[in-house]
Amino acid sequence: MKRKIMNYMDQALELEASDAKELLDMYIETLNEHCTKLEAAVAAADFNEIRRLTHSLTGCSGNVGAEEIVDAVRDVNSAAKIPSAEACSAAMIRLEELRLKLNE
Amino acid sequence: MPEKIKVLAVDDEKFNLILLRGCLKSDMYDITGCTNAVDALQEFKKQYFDVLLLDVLMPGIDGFELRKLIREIDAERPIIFLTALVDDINTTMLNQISWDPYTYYLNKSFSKKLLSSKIEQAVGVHRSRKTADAYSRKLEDEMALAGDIQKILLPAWCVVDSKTMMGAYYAPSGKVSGDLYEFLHISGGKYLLFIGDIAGHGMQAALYMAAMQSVLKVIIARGNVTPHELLNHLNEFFCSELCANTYMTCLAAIIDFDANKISVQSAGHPGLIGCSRLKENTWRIGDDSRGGPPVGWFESTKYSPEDTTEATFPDDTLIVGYTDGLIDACTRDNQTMNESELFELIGVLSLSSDAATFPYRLGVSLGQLGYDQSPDDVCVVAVQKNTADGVTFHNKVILPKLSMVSSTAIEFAGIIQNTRNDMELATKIEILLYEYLNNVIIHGSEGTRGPREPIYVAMAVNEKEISVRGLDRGKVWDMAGSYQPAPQPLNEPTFGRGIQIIREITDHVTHGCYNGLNETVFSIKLG
Repeated sequence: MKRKIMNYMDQALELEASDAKELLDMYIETLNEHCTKLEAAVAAADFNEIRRLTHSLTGCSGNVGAEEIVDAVRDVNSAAKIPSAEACSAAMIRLEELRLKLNE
Repeated sequence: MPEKIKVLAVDDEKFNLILLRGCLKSDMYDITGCTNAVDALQEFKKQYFDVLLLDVLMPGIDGFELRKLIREIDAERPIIFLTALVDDINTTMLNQISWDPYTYYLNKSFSKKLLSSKIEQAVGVHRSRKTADAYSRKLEDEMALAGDIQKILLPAWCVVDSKTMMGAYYAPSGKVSGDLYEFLHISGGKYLLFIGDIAGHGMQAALYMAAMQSVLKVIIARGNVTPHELLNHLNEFFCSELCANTYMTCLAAIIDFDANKISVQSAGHPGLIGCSRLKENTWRIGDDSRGGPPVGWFESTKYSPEDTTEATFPDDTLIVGYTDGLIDACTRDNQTMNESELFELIGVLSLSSDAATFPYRLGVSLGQLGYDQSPDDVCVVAVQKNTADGVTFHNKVILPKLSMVSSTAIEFAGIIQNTRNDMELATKIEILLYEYLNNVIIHGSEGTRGPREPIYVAMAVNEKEISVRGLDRGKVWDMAGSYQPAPQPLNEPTFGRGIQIIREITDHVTHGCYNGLNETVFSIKLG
């Protein structure tokens, strides 16, 4: 997935390699922070906060071409719109898997 | 090298700002980032940005609210919304984005090419519009200057000498006009009255007007000419030297105010109208069917003396000429006045007007009758003999210069002293004129542009009172209409300490305003 994001930043955003690497690290850091906050919001069934965080994460992820993460985040967002804590928790599993994969 | 584009990017997510900065890293862009609307607004007030990139959803003030605040400062600065809401986009959001014509939209998963091209499109359109606006303003300024130059080429709105009085109302449909008029002393009691109308409007007509107005003076300066000779000279100049692709209807009249004779020839132009105020009679001077084609139609045209109308007129005649813009004046439902109605109106108005006020009062009357839409340039000229009408015994036109005030006041006061041997009255007249003229000259032209207009002053007397009449084309000289002197409460003067002094001196003041001409009459009781 890292390679896919790097390719996107190279081809679509035409970033210099050093900038792209730096931005990938920053993106992962942002993703980690948002996921931590999302976990807490899901646990508290704070659906407004879930929607705000998922919107923000969709933007960041879309910007770097992380499509799989965008899809996973949208699932969490859709669950928050129901609103269903259970559905949010279920959707978070896929997001967490992707986050860990990206952190490898 | 293209001008650098200054970008203000606003997103509560720092990562997105850093990404934008990386993405737009080049000599072409200068990016400032803000993570909230308050900071963004401060930055926007501090420095100029060519474009704003706004996130829609932000805590506190969101993107749409921020745009509203920006629009209070600048209605047209381009804004590009970058949002990840593409899947949630609905009619409400589309409406929110699109109601503002200077707002653009881009989905967050843009490519550099797409982002750059959107920014360049928005900034390009805005810069082009600004350039076009600046050019348009420059053109407007130049047109206004051209209008001022036209006024300088024309005679003043009022001309008075020992034999004649002329008044002219000249109203371009835009900033400049294709109409022209001239009133020139030739010799003895002879004067040339010329009225012309270049076909078309705008700058082209105005340039031809300026050329014709100048050549007219040159032809007259060469010496005595007759109407048909003048038209032949003008036609030759128009066709051979000016090579104009248009034409001019016009009318040339030589008026001999000593012999009360007029020679007039028309080149496709509405004829002159004569009005005798004593006989309450109105007539056309000459036959409209006589004369030649408009100047410029045919190079071969020869205007002949046989087509010149010779006529006589009584002493009290008011001679009125006009361009067809007057006839074209229409009501809101596009009705125009027919010529017989106009003829009748001119006759009625002439009974209570002199040459100076007539052209202006005619405009007011047309407006009162509902003919207040003027698609064409309008020019109305009236001339009359400057003979004593039984009461007016001194009149003159003065330049609107402070240096003229004292000499004029002293001149009028001197006449009173010499004719009535009344020092107190002479002093009143001197102070009255001093204060009135100072007011008009100092305050009347405040905030106005263009050449300053001369002021007409006349003094009249009858058994009961002496009156001083002033005509000026400055701002409305507000004496609150008519008033009676103390002990009735006085209205607050609108400007100038002189108004209070004038009220102390005079017994009655009336004021009228006709299409930008102020008429003020001050009366002082005698005995």
